[in-house]
Amino acid sequence: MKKVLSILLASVLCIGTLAACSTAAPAPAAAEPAQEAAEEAAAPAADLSSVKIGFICLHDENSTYDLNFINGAKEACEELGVEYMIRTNVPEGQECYDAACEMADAGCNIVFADSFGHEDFMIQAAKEFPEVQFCHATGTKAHTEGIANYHNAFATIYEGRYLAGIAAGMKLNEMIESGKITAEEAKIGYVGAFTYAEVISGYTSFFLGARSVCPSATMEVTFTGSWYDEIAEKEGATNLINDGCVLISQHADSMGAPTACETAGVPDVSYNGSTIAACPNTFIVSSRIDWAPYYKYIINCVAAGEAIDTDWCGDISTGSVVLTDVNEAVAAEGTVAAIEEAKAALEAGTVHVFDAAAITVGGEPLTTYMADVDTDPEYTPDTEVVADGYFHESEYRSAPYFDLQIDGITLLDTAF
Amino acid sequence: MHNKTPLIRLSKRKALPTSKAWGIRLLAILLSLVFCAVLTMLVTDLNPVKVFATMFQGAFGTVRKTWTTGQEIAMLLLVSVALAPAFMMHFWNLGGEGQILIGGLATAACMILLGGKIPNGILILVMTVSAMAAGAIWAFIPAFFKAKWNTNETLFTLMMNYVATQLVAYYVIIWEVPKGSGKIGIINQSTEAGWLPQIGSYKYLLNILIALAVTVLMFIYMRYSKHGYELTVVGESERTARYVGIKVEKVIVRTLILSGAVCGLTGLLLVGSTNHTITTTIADNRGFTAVMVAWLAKFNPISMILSSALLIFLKRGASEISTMYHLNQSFGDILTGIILFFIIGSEFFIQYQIHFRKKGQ
Amino acid sequence: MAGISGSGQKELLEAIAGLQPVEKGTVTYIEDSGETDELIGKDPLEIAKLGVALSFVPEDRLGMGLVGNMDLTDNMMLRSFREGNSVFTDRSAPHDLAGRVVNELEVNTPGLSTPVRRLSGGNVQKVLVGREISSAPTVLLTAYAVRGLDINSSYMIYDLINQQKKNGVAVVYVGEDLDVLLELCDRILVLCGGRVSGIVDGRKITKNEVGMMMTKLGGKQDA
Repeated sequence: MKKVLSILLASVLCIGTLAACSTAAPAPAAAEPAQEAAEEAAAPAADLSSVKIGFICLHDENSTYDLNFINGAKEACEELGVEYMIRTNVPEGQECYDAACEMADAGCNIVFADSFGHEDFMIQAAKEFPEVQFCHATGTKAHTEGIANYHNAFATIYEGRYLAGIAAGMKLNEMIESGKITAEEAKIGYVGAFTYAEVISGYTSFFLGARSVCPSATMEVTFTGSWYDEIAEKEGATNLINDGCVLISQHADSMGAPTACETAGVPDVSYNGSTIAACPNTFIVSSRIDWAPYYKYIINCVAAGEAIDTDWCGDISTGSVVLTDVNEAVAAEGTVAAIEEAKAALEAGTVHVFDAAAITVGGEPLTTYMADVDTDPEYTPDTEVVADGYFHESEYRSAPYFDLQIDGITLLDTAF
Repeated sequence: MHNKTPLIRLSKRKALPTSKAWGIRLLAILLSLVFCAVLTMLVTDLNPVKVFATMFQGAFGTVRKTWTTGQEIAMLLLVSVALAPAFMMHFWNLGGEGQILIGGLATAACMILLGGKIPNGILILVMTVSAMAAGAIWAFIPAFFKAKWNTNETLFTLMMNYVATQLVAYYVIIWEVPKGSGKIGIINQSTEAGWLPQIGSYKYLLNILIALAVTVLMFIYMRYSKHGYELTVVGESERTARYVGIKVEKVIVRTLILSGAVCGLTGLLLVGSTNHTITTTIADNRGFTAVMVAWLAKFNPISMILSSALLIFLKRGASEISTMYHLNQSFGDILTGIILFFIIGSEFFIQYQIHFRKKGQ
Repeated sequence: MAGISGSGQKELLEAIAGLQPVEKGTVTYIEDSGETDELIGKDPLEIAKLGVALSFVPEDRLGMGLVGNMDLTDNMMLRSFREGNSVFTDRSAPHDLAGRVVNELEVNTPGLSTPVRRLSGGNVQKVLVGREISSAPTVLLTAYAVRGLDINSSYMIYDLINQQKKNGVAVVYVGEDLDVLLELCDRILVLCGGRVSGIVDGRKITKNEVGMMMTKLGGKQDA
């Protein structure tokens, strides 16, 4: 017993000595745990120094999806010099509600969540903290819930996809001209996650962009049933390649499809970030949403005491929709110029991605469509969205609602 | 040739007085904390005491955090208590995850299909019975096969987890809102049909009370009931059990039904009381963490209160460290792993004694 | 019961006790009234239900007769835990029994809550035998009752067995030491290679003859 006691005392001495060691400053912009945690945030003050923003992420930096949000967050907050905290690996369950409330308790006046499944729990937290602003990306309920402090946000990523599609179409043209494929063989493969409007909107706009420069292009789509499943995505891409697809794109968060393309030597247009490092011989370009503009917007709103838009949809002009650098080694000649030209046209409003003239559904031209804009369990279509000769995507709510199956695109499976 | 005794020699200890055993365990915990502190300083240049203070902050810093910690402990405790009788019987029920999921699925099914169609009180009763029955059936299947044909229960229960996960995935797609999203969202958000009652303004009090009640009941069952005695004998020595006429097959099946039912109950609480939704990850690996909790507590339900509290404290504290100091989430997991490693290692020193060669041997 | 180790003694005893499935044959229990009961096809509980108080001290003490990690009280409870209508076990009677066994058989143990695997071989056997005879059996089966025991403990066991015999208990003693067998037993059944080599009067037979029967069926020397 004496021996144990003396070892115990020695350890206590060790710890005491270690504690006495002075420390370097913790990582920059780290938020000190607020001791006065119980108080809710006061009404938004007029300057930036009073703003504290919390970010809730579904996974962490290892997921390209969340990495995109985290990078945007750091960029915006450091530029504006605002205190922030990031909680990663928050599942789409009660934990999200707890995390949001804890952030509100810790003094945050804005709480942001990045995943679709966080929405119901963010709404719950918003009801409990009326003085705190709750902003949610990809969500669909802000415009129907009618809660003043709950907001949705998205961006016109379909425009980004369209531009990326142009790069793909140019590549297809290059392959046709070089004789590598015939015009009829210009088939694009797309690895999607779910038959969800956001995904459908994504691949349709990509296809329309490709078809605008390569009229004979067709597309096949396969679904994995998961936003992040490396094996399923790799398998999906390989199946598409084996089925004769000569170019691949995806809407999924892992490196599964890009690596399958690199191995097979098939050009790839990726998403959410450049994969040029891992796939230098096949990566063409990638589109993504830059969230920094949205973050700056909401921080400034709260600092100035202004209301945040219920449904905010960023576009090319706000800098929310961006393309990575084109990989000149793989892309066709003239790709950059073609993209710039189309980008200008989109911004000017002279070209619309979902132009009704370019779309047929089941052989019929697109003249009218009732989309399911207000979320309900019976999926009732409620809003007419075709007007002025085009489908008004992301205008009635920020999250996409284009879910038509247009001609030219074949779905290989629809289990998900 | 004079043979020397080896430099370092191990011998199994006869028996250690309880106080000495606990002394070794405490020492292990202390050493692990020192080790973590040194590691933290090397990696992050931070004051280690501050790091541990932050851990405490993460678990108990505010009233809300304390309640969440309590709820997390309650859920983990409930699953561990579910595994206790099976483990005491030396039946390695690694299917806790699947049994929770299937119980949760049954609960969600009742909420979605019967919500608003029958009075709420009856709905909750139906949910409870079906959740516990579902979990019981899920555990019964591997138990039956083990009893009848001596199949490997470790593999069987593990594989049942995958089946349960896929079943949940399937029904999530069927019940998803909106179409194609792969998510169900909060069930009956407006009507609150099938939501388990909340005690006062405390969201998690019901869960905590149920978990504690079941823990005490399980302790009494295992220690003082005839069933508990039988399953202990079966676990210790199946031959002795048969020798005294205990029907080993009946005991195995009966115990696993109980184990599965309590896991199903956990699923009921997770779906009907806490999250009001179901996803394939709603069990959050508790079925596996509970194995650790059960072993650390030596299958004693009351001790599991402590071991589950320790693990949850470490988990919440580590998460807070990651958030506050902008470290990757994995750093907290590393700290947890080191502490667990030391605790398990201390068990070795309690079982064995090290002898060093003395001069002249 | 005599025989070279492994000649089928263990299996025979377990068959009588209801622990070994039997393909052919009968085991008849003849009550004082002359009524007979067939024991084959019944497990220990069913045998007890018949009213046959059968006790069995197996060869494998810690692996079968007792639970090594449990203490004396819980081991005493192995036969009696079902008693009573309550769902709860009653440890008071087994606790008292443990105390009595420790006293009467002079079991050397630190206490009643010591796990039995910590006791020495002889003391383990005393605990086991003590429990088995405490239930006032009418049939007592013992396998290698004194294997590994010191001389004092061995004689204590012999005394117990003789006491049981005096009480009218049917004792089946399986042993290796032929001297002991000849001293103790009234009848000796000799097994050889799993078959009955002979059934002889223990008071008249010689060690040599038993030895011959153990090594060769029938025991007759080759002419």
